[in-house]
Amino acid sequence: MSPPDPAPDGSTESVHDRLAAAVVPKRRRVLAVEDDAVSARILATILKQLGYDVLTASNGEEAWRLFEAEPTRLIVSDWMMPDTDGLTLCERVRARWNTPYTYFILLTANRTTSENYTLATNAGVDDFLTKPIDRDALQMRLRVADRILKFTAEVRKLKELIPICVYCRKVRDEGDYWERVETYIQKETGSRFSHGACPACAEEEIARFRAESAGA
Amino acid sequence: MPERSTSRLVESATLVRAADSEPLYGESIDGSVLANLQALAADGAPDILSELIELFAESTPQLIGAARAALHDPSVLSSFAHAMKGSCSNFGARRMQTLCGELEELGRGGNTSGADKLVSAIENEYKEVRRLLEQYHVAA
Repeated sequence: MSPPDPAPDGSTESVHDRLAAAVVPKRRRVLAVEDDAVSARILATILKQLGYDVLTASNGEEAWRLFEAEPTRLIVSDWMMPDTDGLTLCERVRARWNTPYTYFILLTANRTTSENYTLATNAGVDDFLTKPIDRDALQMRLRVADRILKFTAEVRKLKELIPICVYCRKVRDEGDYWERVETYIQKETGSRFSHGACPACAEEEIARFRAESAGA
Repeated sequence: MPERSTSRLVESATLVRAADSEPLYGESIDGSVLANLQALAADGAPDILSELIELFAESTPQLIGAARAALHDPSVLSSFAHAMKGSCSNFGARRMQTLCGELEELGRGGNTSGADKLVSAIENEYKEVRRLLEQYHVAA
C-alpha cells in the first residue's frame, strides 16, 4: 500500500490518524493516587518528566472527587490505601455512566498473589506495576496505555459516524443536521479535502458527457 | 552523571556500589535504588533526593508512633506496617522493608505477640537508614 498523497497543508497523516488525533488530547493528563508522601512525590515527578499533566490525590475518596469533577483518561493508583482503596476506586470508575474509557494502572507490592491479581483484573484494572516504581517500567506501561486510549477514541469516533444516508451519503451530526461527509469530517477533525473523481465515477461521467455531446 | 572531584568519587564509591547492586552496611540500603532516584534528579528535579528524605523524615516517625499506639489492633497495625514498608522501599532500605513486612504479616494473621519488639527494631533501623541517606545526600 503506497503512502497517502500529501494534504494541501503538506501533512501526510491519513484521515484515520487525524480522526484519532482529534479526540485524543495532545496534552496528556493523569490522575496519580498514592497515600504515602514519598511514593507520591516520586510518582508525580516521573509522570511530569514523561510529559504528563499530573493531578494528585492522597486517598481514594479525594481521587474519586477529582475524577467526578473532570474524568481523566489515565489513572495510576496505589492499591492499599485506607478507606477507599485502589480497587474500589477502579470499580467506581468502571461503573460511571457515559464516561470515556479510562486506562487504570494499579501499583502493587512485589508479593501480590495470583488471587489478588485476578481480583484486580475482574475489577477492571488494565495493568500492574510493582513498587518501588521503576521509571522505565512505568514509561513502557504508559506507552501501552496511550496506544489503547487511541484505539478506544477511534472506536468512539467511528460509532458517531454510523448515521449516514445510503443514497446521498450525508451524515447526521450531534445536532441532528444532515450534512455532507466532507463537511462533517472537516468540522470534527480539521481535515480538508482535495476533490477528484475515482476511476469508476470518472468513467461514468466521461460516458455521460460523450452521450450528451453525441445527442447535442 | 555530574562530574565529581576524585575524593568525592572515592567517598561516593564506598557508599554507593550501584554498578553491582550490592547493599550497603549489610542489608540496610540497596545502592541501585538510590541510583535510580539520582537519575530523577538529573532529569529536571535536582532537589528531589533532599525533598524525599525530608518527606521520609516527616512521615515515618508518625507512622512508627501510630504503630505503637495500635499494638492491640492487628489490622490497624498491619496497615501502618504496610505504609512504612512502601515508603522505605523507595530508598532501597531492605532491612527496614523486611522488618515492616514481618510486622504487616503478623497483623494480617490477627496476631500482635512480639509486635512491640518489631516496632522497636523498625524504629532503630529507620534511624540508621535516615543517617545513611543523609550521608549519601551530602556525598552526592
